[in-house]
Amino acid sequence: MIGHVDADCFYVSAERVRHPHLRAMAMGVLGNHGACIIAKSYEMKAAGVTTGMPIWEARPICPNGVYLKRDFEWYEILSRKMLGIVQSLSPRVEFYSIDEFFFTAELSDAKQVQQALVEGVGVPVSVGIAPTKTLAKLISDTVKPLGCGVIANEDDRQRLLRGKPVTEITGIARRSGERLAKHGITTCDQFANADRAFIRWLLTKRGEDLWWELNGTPVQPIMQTRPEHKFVSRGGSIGAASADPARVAAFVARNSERLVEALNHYRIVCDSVTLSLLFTNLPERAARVSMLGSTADYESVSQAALWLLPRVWQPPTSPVHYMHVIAGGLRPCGHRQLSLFDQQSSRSIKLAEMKRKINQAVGRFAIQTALTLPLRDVHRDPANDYDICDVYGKTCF
Amino acid sequence: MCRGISILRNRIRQELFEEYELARLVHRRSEATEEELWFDFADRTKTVLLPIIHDGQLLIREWGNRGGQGKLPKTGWCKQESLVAGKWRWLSPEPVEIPANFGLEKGIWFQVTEGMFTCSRRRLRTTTR
Repeated sequence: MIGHVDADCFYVSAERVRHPHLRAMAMGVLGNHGACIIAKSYEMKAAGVTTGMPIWEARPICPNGVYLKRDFEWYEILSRKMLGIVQSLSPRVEFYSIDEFFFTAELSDAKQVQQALVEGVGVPVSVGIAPTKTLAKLISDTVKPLGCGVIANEDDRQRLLRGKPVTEITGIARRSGERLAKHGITTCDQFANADRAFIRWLLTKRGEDLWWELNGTPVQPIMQTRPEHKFVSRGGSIGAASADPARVAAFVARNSERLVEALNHYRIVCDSVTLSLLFTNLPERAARVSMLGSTADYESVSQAALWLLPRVWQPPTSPVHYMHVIAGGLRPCGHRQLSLFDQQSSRSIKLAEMKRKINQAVGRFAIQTALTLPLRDVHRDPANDYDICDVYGKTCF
Repeated sequence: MCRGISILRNRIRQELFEEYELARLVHRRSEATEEELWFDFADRTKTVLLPIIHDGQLLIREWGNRGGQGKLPKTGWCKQESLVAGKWRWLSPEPVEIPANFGLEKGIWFQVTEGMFTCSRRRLRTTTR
């Protein structure tokens, strides 16, 4: 059997661990720009506040609600503590996301795991146990908050699936849901009872895997280590949309810096860099450039991304509000293709190493490229120093 | 800037609570939450107060100069730059801590984890940093 642990409104619960007076309060956790609610307590949810809602819309709905900024560094501390507890109770554990874990389980484990986490960390969790990962996640979602659910037999499985919207299955997002709906499949039981070959035709192998899982046959293993990356990306919202060339270029440089940090962490190099920009008034645009030899060097990656910037940013008057710098063609450091034309100078290697050591000793972003100087507001706010993607080792986002 | 602050009721000594008749400031966000005292500068009904920690002691003082008496400007705040520039030197400002659990600005309550404010030695009126 497979168990699934899912923390109940994790960011909120994590804040309540260190600030107990927040318990039972309607509270919302804000994103790095302090504008949108990225997590909310059940009390705030009951008032009608939804995730992603801007704070100025939430205020009149929930006037006594309390808001605070996210702190992923703290959330990671609790997450790893939870991981350690689950690992002490099960021989195989998957670090699925910052607040979710899969583990090999016995039917009777649910309460024990839940109790150990609540007592050991102080974060309420829901636990599901089922023959497959998909069913375990579905049942733990169903029994929230602070619930335990077990799929022990065929009756339990059918009861769980009956009438439940198909989009509640992890892996069936809005677009797949629309495709299925066109063929009259809107619920989990309809999906599970559909023809397997038809599901494969409609949603490819990924959809077929979900069909097997939903019918109780495990095809998705518990992954104790993260699978190799196909791409590594850094970016996201840049706050208020900007058409200021210096500010947008500064974000490209900052995201390149973060990307190189991630490549170094994973000990991989990339053969290509892609820059993707989202505009407030135009469709997304992206372009890719091949590198002269595999690299994880900041100078090369940032130069490539900045070279792409005027090519992607068309017309240059369009306000940019999202961006991603993406490394592709990844391979381990030891298998790098060297460039015939452009060798990294020993000076730049020494500089990069010195920068890495200083940042390691003094603090992340203690030394950063001067190109990011227009981002003083971003640098001033410590919430920007640590992001969800900086929590390494998760198999999902 | 901060229009108001909130402090948990259990952080205020009973003597202070009674002396300054703070019962009128008690609020509860819901039945399940702890009692708080809300100090709101925009509260027009009474003299606005503020809890401060001065020389390690928790005190209650009048917040700013909303009534406009004396030489102080009619406000509850000043700019940090003006403090640094010494424009308030004639009041002998001293640092005090405001033991707030939450701050209120533009109708939004936000969590406060730390903060340092200054106040005048003469009148112990506060100005935010």
